[in-house]
Amino acid sequence: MKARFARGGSNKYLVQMLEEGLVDYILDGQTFDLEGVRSMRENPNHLNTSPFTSYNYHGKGNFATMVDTSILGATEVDLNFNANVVSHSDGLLLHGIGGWQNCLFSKCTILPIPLFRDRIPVIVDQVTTLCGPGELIDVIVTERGIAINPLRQDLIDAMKNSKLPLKTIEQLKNEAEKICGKPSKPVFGDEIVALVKWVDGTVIDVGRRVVS
Amino acid sequence: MNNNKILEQKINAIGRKVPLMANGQAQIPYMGVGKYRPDGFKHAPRISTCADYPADGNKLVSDLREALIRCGLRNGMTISTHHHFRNGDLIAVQIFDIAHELGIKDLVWFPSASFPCQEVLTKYLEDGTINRIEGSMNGALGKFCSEGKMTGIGVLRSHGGRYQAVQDGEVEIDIAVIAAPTADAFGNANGVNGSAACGLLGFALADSQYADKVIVVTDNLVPFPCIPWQIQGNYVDYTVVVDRVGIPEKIISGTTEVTKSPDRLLLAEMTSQFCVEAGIVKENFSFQAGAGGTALSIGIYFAEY
Repeated sequence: MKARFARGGSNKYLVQMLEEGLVDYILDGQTFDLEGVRSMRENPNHLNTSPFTSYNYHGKGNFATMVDTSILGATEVDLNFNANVVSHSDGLLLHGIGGWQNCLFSKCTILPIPLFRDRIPVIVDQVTTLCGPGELIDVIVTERGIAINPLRQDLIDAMKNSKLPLKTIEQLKNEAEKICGKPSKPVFGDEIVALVKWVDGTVIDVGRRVVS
Repeated sequence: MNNNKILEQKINAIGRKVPLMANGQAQIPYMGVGKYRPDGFKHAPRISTCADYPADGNKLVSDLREALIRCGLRNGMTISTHHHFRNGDLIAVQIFDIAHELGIKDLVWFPSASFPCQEVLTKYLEDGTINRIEGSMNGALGKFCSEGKMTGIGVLRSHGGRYQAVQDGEVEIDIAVIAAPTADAFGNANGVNGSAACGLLGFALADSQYADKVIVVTDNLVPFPCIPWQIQGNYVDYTVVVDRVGIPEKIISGTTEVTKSPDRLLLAEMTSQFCVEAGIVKENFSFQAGAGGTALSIGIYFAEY
């Protein structure tokens, strides 16, 4: 099976796929290692792209929506599949958004995440900071089971006979809480310290001052 | 605490309370996916004339300080940088060292992302050289912001949202400083050649197109023409040569390494298995793996099909 294109961040593994003919093109936004740099210099099929071509929502289309699947990280996911990528459960802003929001527009967005980190469940009632609306997040993969967004009946149907451990997101959350207990919430002040913009410039959430 | 951070707020379409004003700018609450309809025209930088630029194409000035002064660096300006060197960036901190020496205040730093190598900038957030960061806030900078210590309100955007904000005029860049592994004196520049090659300069594209003033900084000056020209010199005001523009070995940082953890590899394997069974992995399919060790490992499993 051959891929027509892969979107970078490129690394040595993606470069190897390109050189072995497993993927026709890398459409790259940034090189993640020096093999990526070398490949971009030497290989005409390793193309440099920009946020204009790949991600800009106020344009006449962009590449992100044409991608069959994007596989991304998250710090937290809630029962509506809304996800957080900028803060941890302690409320501190610790990551940028990067291309994460833009990639949610792929045809199938999958978040492989551990069910808990340092005994803190990743699936929660409400994410600390909401960065991505659940309607764009299709699948959560954890080591204890896979939850498909109920909005994606087509995927649920396609996986009907699978041997993979398919569960609801509520089941995953309950399993995590059974193991870790319910985590304590951070205490926030009223002050807004940061805005989280959505891809169209509107404000999807804010960061508030962390008191403890 | 900072009372100007308690603002009039409204519940947006996804149930979050967000302000209607921040940093002196009106804000639009999120309306739902694809629901907000933009209006009007794109932002346009001032018209330039060749009469103001050297006919021989040589835009070199003595150093970064000179270039910033010639760009009219003053209080309240928005200064942009790109993050293609990731944790090996050597230029962003220098800009604010210079601004501090010149006694400039209230700058807005508009990076395409920030990294631990820039955490020293907290001292300039503390002394008022920098008012706020509009970009990613990682590590110590994120903690500083979360504790309410930043004067202004930070703004987090996606890479696409950053381009959108510049294009739409929500952020007007006064001075863009573009660190380039190779450039000519006219300002054509690329990231693929030179001893500090970092791949590409795509994150600086919007900055070059829309900023009022553009400085290209390089440690590998080549005679015109610099090929390929990922950044076009026709957008560039000044060029500067430095000893070292970045440390490419430091591009690799935390989130860009493939995981060795067996737990994470299991997640990657389950994900690729899901993609195969759901019919996503098919002839001529396409995929994107984000930063983060688990996501980056997916390719290894896709390669097996």
